[in-house]
Amino acid sequence: MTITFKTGIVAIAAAALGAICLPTLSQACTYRGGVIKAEVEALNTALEKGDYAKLQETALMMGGMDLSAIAEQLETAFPDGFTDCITIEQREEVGGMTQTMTSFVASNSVLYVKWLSTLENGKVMVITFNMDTDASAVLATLR
Amino acid sequence: MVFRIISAAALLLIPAGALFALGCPAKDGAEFPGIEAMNQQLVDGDYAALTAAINAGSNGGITLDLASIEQLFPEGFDTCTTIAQRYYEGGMTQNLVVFRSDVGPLFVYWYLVPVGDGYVLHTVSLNTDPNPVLDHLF
Repeated sequence: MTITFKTGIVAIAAAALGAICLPTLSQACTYRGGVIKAEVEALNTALEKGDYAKLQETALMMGGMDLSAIAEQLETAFPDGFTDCITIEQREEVGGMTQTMTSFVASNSVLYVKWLSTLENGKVMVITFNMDTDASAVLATLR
Repeated sequence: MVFRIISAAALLLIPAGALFALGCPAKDGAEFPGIEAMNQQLVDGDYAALTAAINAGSNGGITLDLASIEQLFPEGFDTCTTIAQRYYEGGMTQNLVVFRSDVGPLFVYWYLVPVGDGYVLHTVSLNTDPNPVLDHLF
């Protein structure tokens, strides 16, 4: 089964960003090395738990992304969330832009997720993402 | 130009990060005054100057019509941040910049190629969607 999620962007919703409630856990998904970004981990935590309302809320606060359509698909495909997650790749650039690729394990499938975050005035913003059960499709979006 | 000189001088008196006085060079990266001047023109909403600077910076190779951008962001932007820089031995450089405003974000890609003692602007791309801009990165 392959489920492809289109990247969602809302260009006119970046203003009025509120404070982000970060997870108490410093590391939601296992990652061998690299710098864990708590803001990205907040998204991973919500996704792993299957808390798609929280996922939408967090994404909206972190860069104005509208994940409502994606959340519906996730709720259908993975109603109970995931049993484990592992961050398998992270690319950080001069300037702070970071691409994080994480695999989420469910009973019958694995979902691969790439978050692309920026560092703007000391604040982490997530500006785009990709999700797919086909790892190659997500790998193809790494820049 | 007088405004920019005043702004640059003022920057010395203000803690780093408190003011985007002249463009938005990458933190811990290489700085290209020509690119930063164009970033500042975009922040200021000075589209005529930006169009001329892009044309001059590309040795006449790039002529952009920024009317649609100007229509969407007539007042320019509140801030800009160079979110990624790929600087290669030899000098070839790619900068990715995000401009923020109440209207929404604009993403800009600059690709510079060293020529002689200077640089020529090879590619510039502007879009409210980050993905087509990110696609330029190599």
